[in-house]
Amino acid sequence: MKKFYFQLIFAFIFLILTVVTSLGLGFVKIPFFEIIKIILSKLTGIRYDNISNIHLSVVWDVRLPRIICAALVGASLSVCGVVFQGILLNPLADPYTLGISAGAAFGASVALLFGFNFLGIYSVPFFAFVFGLITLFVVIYLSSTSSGGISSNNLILSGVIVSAILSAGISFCKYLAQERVSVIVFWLLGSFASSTWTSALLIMISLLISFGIFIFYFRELNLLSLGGKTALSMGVDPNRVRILLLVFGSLLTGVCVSFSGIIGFVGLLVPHMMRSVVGPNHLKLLPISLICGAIMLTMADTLTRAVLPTEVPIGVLTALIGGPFFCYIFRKKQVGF
Amino acid sequence: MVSEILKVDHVLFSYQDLLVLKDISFKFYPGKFYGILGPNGSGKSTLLDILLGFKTPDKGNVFLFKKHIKEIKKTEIGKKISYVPQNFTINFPFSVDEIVTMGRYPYIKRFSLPTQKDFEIVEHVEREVDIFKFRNRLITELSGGERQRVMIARALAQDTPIFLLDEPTSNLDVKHSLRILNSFKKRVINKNRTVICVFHNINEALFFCDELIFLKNGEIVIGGPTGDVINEDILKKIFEVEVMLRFEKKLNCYQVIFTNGRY
Repeated sequence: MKKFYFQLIFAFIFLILTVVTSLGLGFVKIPFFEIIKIILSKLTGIRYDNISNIHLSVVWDVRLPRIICAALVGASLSVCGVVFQGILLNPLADPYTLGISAGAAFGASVALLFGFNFLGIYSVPFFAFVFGLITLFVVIYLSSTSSGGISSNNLILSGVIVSAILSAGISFCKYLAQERVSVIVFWLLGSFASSTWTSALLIMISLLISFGIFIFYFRELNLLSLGGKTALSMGVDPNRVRILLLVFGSLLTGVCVSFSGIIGFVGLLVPHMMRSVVGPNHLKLLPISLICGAIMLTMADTLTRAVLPTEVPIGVLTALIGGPFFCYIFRKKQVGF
Repeated sequence: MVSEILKVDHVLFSYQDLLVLKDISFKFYPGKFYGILGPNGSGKSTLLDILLGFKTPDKGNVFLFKKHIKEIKKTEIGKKISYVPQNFTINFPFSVDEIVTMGRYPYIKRFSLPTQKDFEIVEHVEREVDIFKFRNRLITELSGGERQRVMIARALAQDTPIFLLDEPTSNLDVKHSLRILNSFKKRVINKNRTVICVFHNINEALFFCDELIFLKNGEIVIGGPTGDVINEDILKKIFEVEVMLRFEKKLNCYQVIFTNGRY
C-alpha cells in the first residue's frame, strides 16, 4: 500500500507539471514562472504588476479551460474504462463498447442536421447526452433475461448490435446533410477547442459524483471479477451493482462525449496499462487511472494544439497513437506467456 | 431436535419451456455433509443456484435459517453461504493472496484493512489446500486445478455455516481431491458446518457424505442417510450402468465398482 501511495503522489505531481507546461505552449509562448504567477493571482486575489493582460487572458480564459477539460475527460474516460471492464469481465471493453458513444454521436448528428439550437451552444451536447442514455437503456433492455438478470456477454452483444444500427443512422444523417456534412464530421472527430469554464465545471461535477460511487463499490467490482454467482455468495447483489455502475458510467461517458466528441482508446489503453502497474484491485486501479488518464489526454491535446503544425482532431490523434501502441502491448502480452 | 439450516419447499424451476426442477423439497441440517448425485442435466447445478438465491424458483420457497431467502439482505448472504463454482474464468491478474483475502470481505468494513486475524485465517487455509507456496503468483498464470484450489481456499476463508460446492474436485488430482474434501469434512465435524456438494465421483461421495440426494430428470428419486439410501438398484436406476457395491470394512463405507462398458 505504501508503494501505491508513492506512485499516486508521483503521478499527481506529474499531472500538475504537465498542465503547467502545456499552459506555456502554443502560438504565444509564456514563461513558466509567469504562468505560476497568473494562477496564483487568480486563485488568491493577490495582484502582480508585471503580468501582461494578453498573457493573463491567454492562460486563464483560453488555455486553462481547454486543458482542464481535456484532463477531466481523460480522467473520466479512464475510470469509466476501468468500471466497464470490471462489470463486463472483459479487459477489452471500454466506455464505448455498449454503444453509448454511438448513441451520443447519433444524437449530435441529428441535432446538427436539423440545426436545433433551442438551448444555444448546449443544444448539441444535450442531444448527444440524451441519445447516449436512451441507447444505454435499450441495451440493458435487450440483454436482460426473463428472470431479471443481465449477463456480461449479453451486454456486449447488445452493445455491438445497437452500435451497428446507430452507425448506419449516422451515415444516413451525413448523407442527408450533403454540403453541410463537414459540421457533423468535425463534431464526431472530437475537439476541446470550444471548451469553456462552464463545460469544465459540468464535467467536473459528473466526474466527482461518478468517481465517488465507483470507489465506494471497489469491493463489489473486485468480487464481480470472480463471476456473478460467486460474488452473490460473498454478499454482492450482482444485478443491482451492475446496473448502478453502468448507469453512472454511462452518465459520465455521455457528458464527456457531448462536450468533446468521440475520443477513442483512452478508456481502453489507460486501465490496461495501469493494471500492469498497480494490479487489478479496483481500490488502487481507479485512482491511478483517474490521474494517468488526465495526464494522457492533456498531453495528446497539447500535442495537437501546440506542437503539431496543424490541429489534428483529438479523436484521430488518440486513435492513431493509442491504437498501434495498444496493438504492441497486446501482442507483447500474448507472446509473453 | 436440531432445527434445519436450509430448506427447499416444493420448488419448481424451468428455463423457458424446459422444466428443470419438479417439486423439490428437502431440509438441510447443521453438522452434516450432503452429496448431490445424478446424471448430466438432472438439475444438480440449478438446485445449487436456487439454494444460493441466484435463481428464483417459479414456484415454491427457499428458507435460510427459517427466513425466506428473498427477505435476507444480500450482504448477510456473504456471512451465511459460500459457494465454489464448477467452472469459472477470471480475466484479471489478481494474485492468489488477493483472491483468498476476498473471502474475508464480508467481515471487513469497507475501506478498512484486513486484521491480523484475517491474515492468519488466509494463511491457514492456503496451507490447508496447498496453495501457500504460490500465494504471490497471479491467478491468470495458474493451471485449472491450481485455480480451483484458490477458489476453494477463498470459500474456506469465508468460513460460513453453509458451503455450496459444485463439483469442487472436477479438476483436481486424487491427492488434492481427498485433501480438500477432508478439509470440508473436518469443518462439518468440528465446527458443525453444513456442506452441500455436487459429486460426479460416486466413491468420493460414499466416503465423505452423511446424506445423499439422488436427482434424476429434476426430481429427487431418493434422499437420506448414505447407508440407508445406497444400493445397487438405485445406482442402476439413476446412472443406467451395471455396478457392484461392496462394503469396505477398513473405510467403514460402501464403495462402488462399475462392471459394464468393456468394449
